[in-house]
Amino acid sequence: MAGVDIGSRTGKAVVMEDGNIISSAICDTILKGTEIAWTTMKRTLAGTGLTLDDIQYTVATGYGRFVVPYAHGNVSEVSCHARGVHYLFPSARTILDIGGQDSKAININEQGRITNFFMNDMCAGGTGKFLEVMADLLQIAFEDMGKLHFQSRKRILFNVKCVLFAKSEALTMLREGIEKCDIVAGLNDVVATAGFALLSRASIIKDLSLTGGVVKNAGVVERIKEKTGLEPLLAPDPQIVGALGAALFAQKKYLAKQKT
Amino acid sequence: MVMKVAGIDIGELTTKVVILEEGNILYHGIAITADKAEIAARKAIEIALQHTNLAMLDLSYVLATGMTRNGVSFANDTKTIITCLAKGVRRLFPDVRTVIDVGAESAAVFNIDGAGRVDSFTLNDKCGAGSGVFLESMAKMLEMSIEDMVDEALRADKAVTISNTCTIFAEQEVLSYTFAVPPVPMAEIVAGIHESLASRIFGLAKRVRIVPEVVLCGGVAKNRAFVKSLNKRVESELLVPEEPQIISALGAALLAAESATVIKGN
Repeated sequence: MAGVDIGSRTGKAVVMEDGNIISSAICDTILKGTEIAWTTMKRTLAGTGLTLDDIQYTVATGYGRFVVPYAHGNVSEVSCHARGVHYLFPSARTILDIGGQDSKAININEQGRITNFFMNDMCAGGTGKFLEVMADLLQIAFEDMGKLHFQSRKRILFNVKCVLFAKSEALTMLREGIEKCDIVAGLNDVVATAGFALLSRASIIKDLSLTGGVVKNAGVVERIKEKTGLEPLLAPDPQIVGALGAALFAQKKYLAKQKT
Repeated sequence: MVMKVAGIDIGELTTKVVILEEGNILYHGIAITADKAEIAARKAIEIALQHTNLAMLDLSYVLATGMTRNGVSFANDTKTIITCLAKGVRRLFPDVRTVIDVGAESAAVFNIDGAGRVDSFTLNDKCGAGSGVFLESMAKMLEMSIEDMVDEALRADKAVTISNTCTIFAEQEVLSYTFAVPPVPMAEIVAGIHESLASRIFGLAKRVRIVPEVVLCGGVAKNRAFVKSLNKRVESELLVPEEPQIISALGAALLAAESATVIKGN
């Protein structure tokens, strides 16, 4: 069984055998059209001894789910995130997913069913793109933004969410000699604040689980913890939860097909 | 002694100064000052004083406006941007009823009644896609000057549609147009960029009543391609002052003159 999550920024895939994850991969390069789907799967299968022919059922999800030529079906990313989180953390009732270009707040019940969800895909503020643009401006690596956060000694508040405005504020701060780590912590706070605002539109019921590539940034997680007062549940790799959910859907759909 | 007063408008990127002498404009200038309010205001007023051969003591009254107006220590008083804009616009266009102000990082639209009172008002200072920084960001990405972008846009008879609101996403959309096969003329792409900002500003303006006369001011009012795009949407002819960027500084100076006269009278 395989789940493939083609996001705006990366491709993720999970391969499962008898209900266990045997391999996963994240393809971080920008490729056009179906190439990203092929490359992601090739990397996931590498070292497993399996080929695409061995996969009995593949479900595609994410914003690029329609460009996965080898998929048997597709499921929306909201359903897949809910499914993946429910599988990992049955106690989770609220999910905040912060992706490369959008973010979602989802409520699920005991059965893992979606009861409420809100999405931001209109504004780059508070998404991975926001931090990516800022990392570029500060000339630091996107991956280091979590580490730098904890070197900060001075609390800085950005009063903006818009990428363009944050850029001009950050430039002014750099000119004033403010430490990069303090600026980074302030930027992580913007992302957490936007996430919290989205969560507030849904219901913040514990347990809270965080997913998406951005929550690999421990600084963002710390600030979400602070704002919600909850200890968030994080998957070993929060970026592949959508693909995991897709693989679980693949299993379900395959079994349903077998029965008929 | 003839009375001289100054109005200072501290914007996000520039500081505008107007000096009035007995009600007439003696000086107006724009200094590029992305700095803290006090420093920005000092820089701009020093330039103004140099140009006019005046000293700070020659000014009977200084009134500051702008988002960070309260940080200016040498100002006698401060007033909101809207109050100053209303005052300044009415001086130039006594029959104005709607003011659209598009600045570097914000845009405001408001109505003025016959007596000069501001009655309804709407502001965008949250999203860059509805202000001048949208055009600057696009120009930078396309490696064009704003001037070239304007000239190019004015040559277009068609414009591409940009469906994303967010500047960051719109940039990706514009980028995909520049790589499109068959190629899309650059004129149509940059015309689309101006259309996008105009539609954003028109959306903001529709939240108040758009009644003539409609005056457009702020730095972006100098952009002819933007004015053309916005004019298509607004039914009545848009009136643009000769120096659209200094209107709130002018209003601040006019209010300074009123206050100085009161003090003198006492």
